[in-house]
Amino acid sequence: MKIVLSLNDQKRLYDYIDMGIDTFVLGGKYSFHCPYVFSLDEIASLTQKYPQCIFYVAVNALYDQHDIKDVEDYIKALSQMNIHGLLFQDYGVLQIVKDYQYHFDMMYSPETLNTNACTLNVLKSQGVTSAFLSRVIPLQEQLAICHDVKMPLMLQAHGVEYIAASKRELLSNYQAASGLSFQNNGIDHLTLKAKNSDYLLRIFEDEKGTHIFSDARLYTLDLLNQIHEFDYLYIETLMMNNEEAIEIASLYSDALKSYKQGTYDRDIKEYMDLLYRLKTPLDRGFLFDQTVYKLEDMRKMDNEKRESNR
Amino acid sequence: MRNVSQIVNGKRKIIKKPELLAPAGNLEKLKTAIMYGADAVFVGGKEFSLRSQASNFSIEDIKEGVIFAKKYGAHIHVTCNIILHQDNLKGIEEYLQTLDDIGVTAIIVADPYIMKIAKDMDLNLEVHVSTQLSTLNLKAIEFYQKMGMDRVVLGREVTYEDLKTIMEYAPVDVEYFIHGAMCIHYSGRCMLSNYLSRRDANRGGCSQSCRWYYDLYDDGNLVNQEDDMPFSMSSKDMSLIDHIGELIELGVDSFKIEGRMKSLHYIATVVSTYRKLIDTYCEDPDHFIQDESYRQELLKAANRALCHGFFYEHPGVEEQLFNMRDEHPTQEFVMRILDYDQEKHLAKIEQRNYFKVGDQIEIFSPHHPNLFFTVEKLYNEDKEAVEVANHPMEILYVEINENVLANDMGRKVIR
Repeated sequence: MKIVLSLNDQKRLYDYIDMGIDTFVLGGKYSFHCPYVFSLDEIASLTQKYPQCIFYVAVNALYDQHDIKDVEDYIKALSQMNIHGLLFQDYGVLQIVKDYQYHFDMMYSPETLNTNACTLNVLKSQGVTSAFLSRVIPLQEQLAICHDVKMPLMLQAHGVEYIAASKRELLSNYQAASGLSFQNNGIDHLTLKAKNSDYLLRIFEDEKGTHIFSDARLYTLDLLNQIHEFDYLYIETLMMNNEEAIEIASLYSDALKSYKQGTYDRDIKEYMDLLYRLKTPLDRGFLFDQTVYKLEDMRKMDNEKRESNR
Repeated sequence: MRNVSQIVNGKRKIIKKPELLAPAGNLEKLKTAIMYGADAVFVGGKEFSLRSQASNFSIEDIKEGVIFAKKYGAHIHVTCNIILHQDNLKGIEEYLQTLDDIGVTAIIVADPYIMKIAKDMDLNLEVHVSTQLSTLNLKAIEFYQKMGMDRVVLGREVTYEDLKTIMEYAPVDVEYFIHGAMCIHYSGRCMLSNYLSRRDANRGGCSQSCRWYYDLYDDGNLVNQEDDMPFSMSSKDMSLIDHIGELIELGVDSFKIEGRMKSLHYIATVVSTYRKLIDTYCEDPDHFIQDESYRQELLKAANRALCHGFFYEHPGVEEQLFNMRDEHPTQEFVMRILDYDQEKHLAKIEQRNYFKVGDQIEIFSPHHPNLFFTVEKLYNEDKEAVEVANHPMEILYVEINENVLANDMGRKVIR
């Protein structure tokens, strides 16, 4: 079990290394969403300067046909650096890596699709070498998958949760239709709330389209006893400022050390107090919840909701 | 470029007609889609299928559908396109074997585990990659081809320009959406429903939360006040009725119409319109004139305003619905013809919506041009004259002077 962190600021890399974190996901030109977009030069420089670190690059968008040649060139450039692996969701990326026989750890990270063990074992036979589990399944199912899949698995330990992405410019379109004024730049100004819901969403637009995340941060700091069998615990620093990212990395890093030293059960209360002091919204996501999909179950849930609202 | 045409008696003709693939939520719709011109119909089974709110088919229903389709030389595709969770893993092999045994032509699949099982079982049926996997490029198509897939249903985000390149090199059959509702987010990658209503979009429970109204906050301050337009993420429906010729010339293998939850009237109207357009174009592509009547016909059954989706490029503000929804078809489906007595000019009909003596009705059919009449004489099953037809599915008789056929349908003309 080791921490993997999406690198939000290269100036802070040494702080993370100092905490004992050595594995990082770098955002780049072809990342779907990331806390910072590193240029190829920056990636090359990082890999040369920190040879002791393990770097993944997120090549994790869905790519249009007219972009695929550029993606191919980009992957070729990465293959000439000390990059350990790629996070991807478009099977086109996997096919490119197979065609050129690049030696990346190919971590399949489709956000929403890694929901059972059998499928992941099939994908292993197709060239996937590690996988990032979906967040929309309960912890019990994630653990069952962990037992049955024969390749390294990553679980999101902390941070905002991906919810949806559109190729369209949904905020610009709304601005044009409504004539309303708002800050449609940057990733952390805008939130959404459905008229019939209290659930707060983060929304932002960039050149790849529109992205929706949870406002609350998924947290598992107090669950290390249950999730210790996963190979990687991922900290998503998207929408965190530097201070929060450092604090969270430090907390999980310390908790992991406590776990390995056998003092975790004693120390966790203190870690949780520190987490609460950050005053960021926290959530368990689907770890202890589940979704329904059969008509009778959906009706039952709707009836229960109606009853509870009376 | 694929060769789609040849010269016959000095005239170019399309020899590679695309399959017209229609949706059906029940047997009646399946049969109607085929009678109105679909080459193939896709349906959902009770297991492993999205759209759990559609009235999905039992094995017996699918079997009846396959038998019916074969009479017309048509095919049945069955969606097995959920993303499997740990508790969905049992029973897949038996289910696929049954579908194969009863003569289903293809399954539409989103989960690689089902793809692998289907190929390992060496079934007769084809395996098609669902649009839920949002396939947008040739490299991804190549990946599926190497897994043994027979066809890829492209993501709705594929533009015409990208489609041209894809069709030039695609190593497997390609299916492209030409009509129907659009997910506003990448299919298979949207968890709005999961987070906002605890309904699993990737297993058929999508609550269409994208079409809800939202409040937008800028640094915590409400942007849309009470009287302002609420934020929404609702797309207009797609229709490529104006581009069918271009798509035929590319050699697209299958044209898909979306909408397993749509009405009988919708399916009949949409299928029949595209059927006539495709056939007319293929017969004499170089002299084909894109007639506005095709679009007008579609609008009679449209639930929402129509757009071109991603055909040109990024859909903009004009391709979205905010608070301007139009959920009402401009004409209302009121009758289905069961039989016609040519001597008495009397049609036996099944009532589908309220109409009355004096209403103007438009009859449409896969076999003849639309015709109009005014209801002057209407009788109940005991042949007693009545003024109104107000009982759902009631058998009635109506006088129509022009010849109509069984399974023709009638819409009330809204003036």
